[in-house]
Amino acid sequence: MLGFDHLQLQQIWWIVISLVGALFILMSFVQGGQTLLATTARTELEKTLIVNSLGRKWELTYTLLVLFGGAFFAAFPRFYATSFSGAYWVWMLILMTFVLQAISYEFRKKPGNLLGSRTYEWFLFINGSLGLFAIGAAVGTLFTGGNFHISETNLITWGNPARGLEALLVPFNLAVGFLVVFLARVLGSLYLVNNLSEEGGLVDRLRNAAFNNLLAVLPFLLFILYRWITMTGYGYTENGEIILEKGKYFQNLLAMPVPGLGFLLAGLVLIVLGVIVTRFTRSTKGIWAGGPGAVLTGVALFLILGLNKTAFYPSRFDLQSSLTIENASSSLYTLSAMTLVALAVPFILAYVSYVWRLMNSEKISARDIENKKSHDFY
Amino acid sequence: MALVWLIIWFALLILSLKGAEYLLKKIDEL
Repeated sequence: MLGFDHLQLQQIWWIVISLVGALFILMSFVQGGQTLLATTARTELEKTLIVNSLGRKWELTYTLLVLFGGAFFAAFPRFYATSFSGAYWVWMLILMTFVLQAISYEFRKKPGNLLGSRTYEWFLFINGSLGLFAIGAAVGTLFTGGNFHISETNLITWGNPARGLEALLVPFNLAVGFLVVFLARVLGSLYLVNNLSEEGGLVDRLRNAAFNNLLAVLPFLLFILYRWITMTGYGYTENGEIILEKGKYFQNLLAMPVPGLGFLLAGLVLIVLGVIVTRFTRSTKGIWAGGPGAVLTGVALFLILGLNKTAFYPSRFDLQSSLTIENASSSLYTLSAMTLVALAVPFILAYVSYVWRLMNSEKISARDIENKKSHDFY
Repeated sequence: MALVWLIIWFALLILSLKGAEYLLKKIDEL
């Protein structure tokens, strides 16, 4: 249909998924901000400022998560079938925390609601901490593997009664979970410093939090890098046989000097730069370095996971059940049709950026909150 | 018995989330 062969389309769709996943990492500033709500806001007004700043964006983060799942469903349905039905409890946990998030923005300030605003703020904290941690741990299992067996008729058997929750016993998965939570808090601080028009008090605390949370990211980042060098990864041969390869993910980083190692290093440098500018100057523009930095880092993370003949969802239970972009993808026809439809994506992105500019045209100030001027008051 | 385990599980979950909130507050205020 488009002149691409099957493998090229599989690679294109892995790159698309990597980009969407990386954009979700950027947008996780909403979840990060929700945990900062509990730790940096001291007065009712400060809380309402943060909630209103995040309340304008949370749906975009949620939509990206759905898009990430949707793209996986369409492009690599065997992964979707395996992970969502097999690792059932992890995904249910994640989804439940996102249900809590949705109702919290809706009902926090509704008059006469059953639960008080403190309960909804607590729900937002659960989504920002537990929800994001579980997503990080789930991404970790894409490196360390899940306990599944796939039959010839695509029936999934999960080899552990915890149905995915056993992933929380693997240190690498925990490290990815903590990394995602603390990175989201860094991004959340940078975003809020940029989006709130107030100076002093809250914003100073947020500048401090950006730096402290970056320090908290470091040990987990170092551990992950160390494990990428030392851990055994899952590759596959020309005829699709899954093989174990020591240091596979680090080799992938080196094998893709620009989008692998290059994006990772550039991304990390940009994040550090954004935080340092925010912490040690009066600039509010840190998110413009930190945000793209998070996207570059995320793209590198996903690319080394699926490209260069790597199994992106290995099975610890039955090695040959491991999923690769070649054995888990949709047919040539489906991928071609999807690629045609995806040509409309730039228009959607243009619309999103237009709406974003409208929402950000005025910074949120305490006066807006006190006068309830904003028509979308949360 | 399952109900008891569920209650224990929830209690532990809430306790660890409260602990996490406390630790994060400490980190932010350092």
